Amino acid sequence: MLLEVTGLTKRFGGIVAVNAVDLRIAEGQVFGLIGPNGAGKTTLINLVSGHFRADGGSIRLANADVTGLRMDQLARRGIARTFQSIRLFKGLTVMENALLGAFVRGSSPALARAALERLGLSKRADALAGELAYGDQRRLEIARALASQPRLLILDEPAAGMNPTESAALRDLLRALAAEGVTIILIEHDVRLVMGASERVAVLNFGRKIAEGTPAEVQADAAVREAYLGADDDG
Amino acid sequence: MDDLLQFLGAYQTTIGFIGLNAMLALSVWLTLYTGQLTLGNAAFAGIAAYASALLTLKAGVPFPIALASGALLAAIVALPLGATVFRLRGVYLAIATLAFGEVVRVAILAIPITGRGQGLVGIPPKTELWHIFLSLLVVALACARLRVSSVGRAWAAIREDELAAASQGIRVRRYQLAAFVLGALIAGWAGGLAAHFDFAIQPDEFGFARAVQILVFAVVGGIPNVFGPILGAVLLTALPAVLQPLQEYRDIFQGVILVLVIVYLPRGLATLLELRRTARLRTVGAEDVA
Amino acid sequence: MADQLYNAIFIGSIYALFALGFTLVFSVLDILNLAHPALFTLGAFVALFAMQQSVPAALAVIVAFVVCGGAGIVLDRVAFAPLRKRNAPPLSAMISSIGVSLILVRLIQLKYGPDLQAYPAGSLPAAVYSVGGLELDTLRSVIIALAIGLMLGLTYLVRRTRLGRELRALAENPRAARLLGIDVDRAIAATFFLSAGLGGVAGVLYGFATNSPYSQMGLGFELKAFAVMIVGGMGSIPGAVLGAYLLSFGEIASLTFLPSELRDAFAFGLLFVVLLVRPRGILGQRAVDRV
Repeated sequence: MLLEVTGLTKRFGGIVAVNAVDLRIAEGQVFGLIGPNGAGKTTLINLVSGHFRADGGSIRLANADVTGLRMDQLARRGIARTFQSIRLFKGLTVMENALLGAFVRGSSPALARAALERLGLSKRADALAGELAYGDQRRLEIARALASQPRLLILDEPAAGMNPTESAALRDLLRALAAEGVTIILIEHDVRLVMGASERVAVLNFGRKIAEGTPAEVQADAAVREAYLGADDDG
Repeated sequence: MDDLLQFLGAYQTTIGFIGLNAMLALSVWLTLYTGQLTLGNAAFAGIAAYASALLTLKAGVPFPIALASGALLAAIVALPLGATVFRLRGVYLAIATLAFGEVVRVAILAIPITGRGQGLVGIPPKTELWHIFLSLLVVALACARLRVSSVGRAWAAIREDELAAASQGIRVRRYQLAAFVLGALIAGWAGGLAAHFDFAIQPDEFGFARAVQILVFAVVGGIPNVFGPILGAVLLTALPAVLQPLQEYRDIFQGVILVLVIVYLPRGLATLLELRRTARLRTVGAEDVA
Repeated sequence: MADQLYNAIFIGSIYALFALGFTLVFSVLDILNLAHPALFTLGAFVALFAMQQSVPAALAVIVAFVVCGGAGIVLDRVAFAPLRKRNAPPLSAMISSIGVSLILVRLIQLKYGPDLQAYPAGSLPAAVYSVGGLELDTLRSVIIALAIGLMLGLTYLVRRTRLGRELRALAENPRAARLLGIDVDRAIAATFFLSAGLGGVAGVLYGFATNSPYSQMGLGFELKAFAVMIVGGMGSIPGAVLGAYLLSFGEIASLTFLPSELRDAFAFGLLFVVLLVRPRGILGQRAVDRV
């Protein structure tokens, strides 16, 4: 198990955003995380990536207790992530963003370049990150995360704004990364992408895990259908 | 040639202060480059000025050692101050450094050995122009090297987005603290040089007005690169000296130019040299930050 | 002893009025308006100017409130609004406000010089009255009453009026506020009008009490205001009031064991201790960054 989350809980004032969630994610697995808007998916990964401190429960990374560690500490332990709302360094170039992604690996230019290459952004190395088209910005965020050669890659809606060709390419990339031993947590609304790329999927609703299994199992689950019924997902 | 030397001689003090101001502007630049506002560098310069002056004056300590001691003292004081404040949101640094500046001023006025309100006089005038400009060169080169290194990039990332920076593994507080303490060290060095340049020092020279002045140099000159603060210091030190009759309005002039720059040309005057990049940053919405 | 208490209440009231202006802008807009002390000074001098034209003191206070309030709106239009429009970081706003402060203070200094001024002789009440065994002066009593009245008025405005609700909404979530149909520009203008107006009144009242307004009077107060805000909690209005009286009482108490030159040291000491131990102050929000 690369990541073991046990009873993880987070409260904001009176609201329990994440309610005693358990997860076991094996190394090299692509793990999908789905659920209606507001289900707590982003909060959950914010907890895992160190953005928030949990109110209860524990997180273990490769058998070491990492509960309560800060973002930069977790990054040094091999966790990298992208953000739902894209947090690139807009005023810095594409290459500089990638170099920063490789920060925990000594800012290696080789790693930065390789990551850009992999996401098809080498030609735009000197463009300002903010000048890129939306889809390219998403890819740059992924490249930046990859540049650190992470053990655990967390992607928060990476396909938002991508066309079918791009998301197919993303799916292939995820599969390839998994084959290389990178563990991936994927939050996505694009059903085809999540089901196509993930080995296992967990479903959250109102902060609780309501289902877990293979994509097929989860899609057939009655509770899952109910959770999504009537919910006007932006798919 | 004789005329040139005569001209230089007459303006020696001003030229010296241009160099000192440039160093002080660079000291503030370091913290601004990480996206934070410090108003404490005049106080750091003051601490070092008094410390080094007292060492040479009362203890006969050799000049270079006194300088180094002063600068080091400033850096040592900066460390706990920064450590306390950098774990808090940005606005607290501005407040804490402002308060710190006042504390230093009050302390100087209260401690007898500093000569209190009268200041220290009779300081051996050991500083030569070449000391100032050699120091400036070293400081400028060091800052320039830092800026393009991974340290500088980390600083820029912190300035753009602290959270994203931390996500990449950057120890945000540590990097901010490093810039702050390094800035204090440089300000201290400049302070020590200043003390031995003009025979006497007074607490007013290192107060709030001076802190603001240094800030204006750096901001007006521009934050994106090392030339900015130097340019700002040169322009805003030389101009008033040349425009003697307008001395009275210097503050107003500085205030107006500060507001104009921040509102219309946030990357400072130095970036008039790179208008295209500024335009690109503007479209990207990063003109204040980068 | 009672006299010292009276003094503490008086000075605390001024601290509170002054700090409230800072706090208002900070809580609604998340910026530290470093031109606020200049508005404080402006108030004292607008009153001086008015009274030199034979305007009675009470009216001069109102004039100062209105003029400073207006100046606050102008300040926002010139120095802050353009920055807001392009989402500039708070750092830029702070620097911009420093620029305005420089201009304003220097203009006052050019007209009146750097030395202590005095309000026209006889324009201020000099009466003294007795309560119990105490001799209290009318001037400071009126000031205290006025200051407390203004604080209560502000509290009422923030809690009970529509404008107050809008300001609170803005403070919590600017984007949501806009979506809710709140006229954000108007609310911001109101914020600056109130903030600067209160700051200006604080300046007049302080000027009256000391009868020595001077161009640098804002600076010394600025630091006290910071101590007040940090102790009470940045962005908290009740916190500012609480912090103000805590500071004033603490200062008076500390005079029993500190030499008077170091009276200010109490405020700084308090400020740094709070920053170390409980940075959010008594009533403030989270101050520590998770980063």
